[in-house]
Amino acid sequence: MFELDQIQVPDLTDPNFIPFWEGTREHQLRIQKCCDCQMHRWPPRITCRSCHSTEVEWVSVEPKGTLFTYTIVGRPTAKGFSSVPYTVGFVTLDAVSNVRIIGNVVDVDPSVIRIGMALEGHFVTAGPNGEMTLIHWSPAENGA
Amino acid sequence: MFGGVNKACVTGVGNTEYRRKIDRPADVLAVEAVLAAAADAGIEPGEIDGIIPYPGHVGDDVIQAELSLSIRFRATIDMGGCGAVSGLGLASMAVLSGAARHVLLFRGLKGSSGARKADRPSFLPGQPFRRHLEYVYGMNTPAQRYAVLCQRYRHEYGLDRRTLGEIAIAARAHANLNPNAQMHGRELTMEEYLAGRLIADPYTLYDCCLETDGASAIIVSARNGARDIRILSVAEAQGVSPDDTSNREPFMDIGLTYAANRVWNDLGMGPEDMDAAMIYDCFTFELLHQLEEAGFAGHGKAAALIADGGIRLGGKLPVNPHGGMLSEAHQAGLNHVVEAVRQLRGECGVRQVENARLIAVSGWGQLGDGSFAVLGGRNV
Ligand SMILES: [Zn+2]
Repeated sequence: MFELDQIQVPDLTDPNFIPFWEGTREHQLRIQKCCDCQMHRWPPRITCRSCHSTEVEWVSVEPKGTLFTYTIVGRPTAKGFSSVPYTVGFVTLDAVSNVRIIGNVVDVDPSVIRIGMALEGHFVTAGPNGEMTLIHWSPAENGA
Repeated sequence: MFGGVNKACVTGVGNTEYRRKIDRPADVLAVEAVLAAAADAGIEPGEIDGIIPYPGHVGDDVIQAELSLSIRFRATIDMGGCGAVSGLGLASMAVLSGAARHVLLFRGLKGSSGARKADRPSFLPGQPFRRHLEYVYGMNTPAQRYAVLCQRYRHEYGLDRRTLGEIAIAARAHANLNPNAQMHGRELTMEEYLAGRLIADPYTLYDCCLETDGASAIIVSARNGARDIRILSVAEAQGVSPDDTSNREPFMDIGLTYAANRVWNDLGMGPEDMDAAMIYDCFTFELLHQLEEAGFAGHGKAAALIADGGIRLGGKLPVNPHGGMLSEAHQAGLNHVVEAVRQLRGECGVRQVENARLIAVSGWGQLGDGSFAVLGGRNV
């Protein structure tokens, strides 16, 4: 459904995102965690918005969650996404309830997508030379 | 400052025709609108000595050179469509402090015949987040970005497509009273609305604002003449994490929530005191969302205000009698200010809000930056 090899690759050498992209390549979802107050955060930031510490570590979390909100795109606007409709969802992680991850919701007819549905992330190679690994979300096996 | 005795005024407004395609370039259109605004203010163009352009479009340098202006005050507001109303505050400060006498705000846009939205340079904050986390999933337009807000609202409060339809149809009905509106003479029925092609669910074609070729301009002055419209109070604010909406908490939080509150507190007035509202209607739901965040309706309650003609001329709160961005023109919100001024002067003919004395104007830009102003006519 997606032309994965045509999706534009961001600057993978951006230091704020290197641990994230290294993680997905290893089929891990890694997010940031403040070393001082232990708060998980996303998207990646220099400073903890809770305690203003700049000491940060990257931790792996289970790519499972529930759909927080979504849109079904009906008109193509991006390279690699000429085939419509497709779904973009914001997924609240089960393990870290204050973090939402953006991704495509796949393997489900758009008409039955519901906020609150249980989703599992899986890792998909993309970019002209397979430079990056994206996370797609499918209905969980034992899903609601 | 804005709550004090001395108020700056909008002294002149001007605009070109608004069409889907105009052959003249954007700078020519901008000059035309600026000259019209100066004439409307009763000043020579050369008296303009302050300028606030719209970033990424026709620049201040072009207008300054074309009209041989001596500029003493120049500022750029990097808040997207929010800047039209934010600019009322900045221009007020400039003229009340003596930094300038007549400050020009203008827009010259080739929104319709230029490049498509997704192909234009983005001025959004947080560009790395956009490129690393959104574009790679095919999310790169305002329609998609705001549709997820609407979808979440629907989940929390419920929302009938027909409520969004009424917002689009009310805008179109108003545009049909406005000969300069881009959609003048083109009726929109609920049936057509509901059959609109999908853009980004729940948004279909008719939920999205126009793209327009055209220009508009206003002049803010330290003057209080018979036709001048007083800028009673202005505020701007941003939602939590203005560079990211995905992890914003509360998710529906926007700048207007704070900006409108500050204006109401400053003036000792409330939504019920307004005779009309000009709401930045980039999308149908964003009009509804802003009505709630500005206090015109409680959370989850705007549908009741919108039903039964509540936001139409003659209704409880006439909203965007010019047709707004949905049906008059996309001028990044400046046409809302222009309309508020004309309404308060009583110049709007068949679309005149009866006895309009106080009008609220909202601005919206970037990822939910918000601005809010109350303008007052002569008899306030
Ligand atoms: Zn911390």
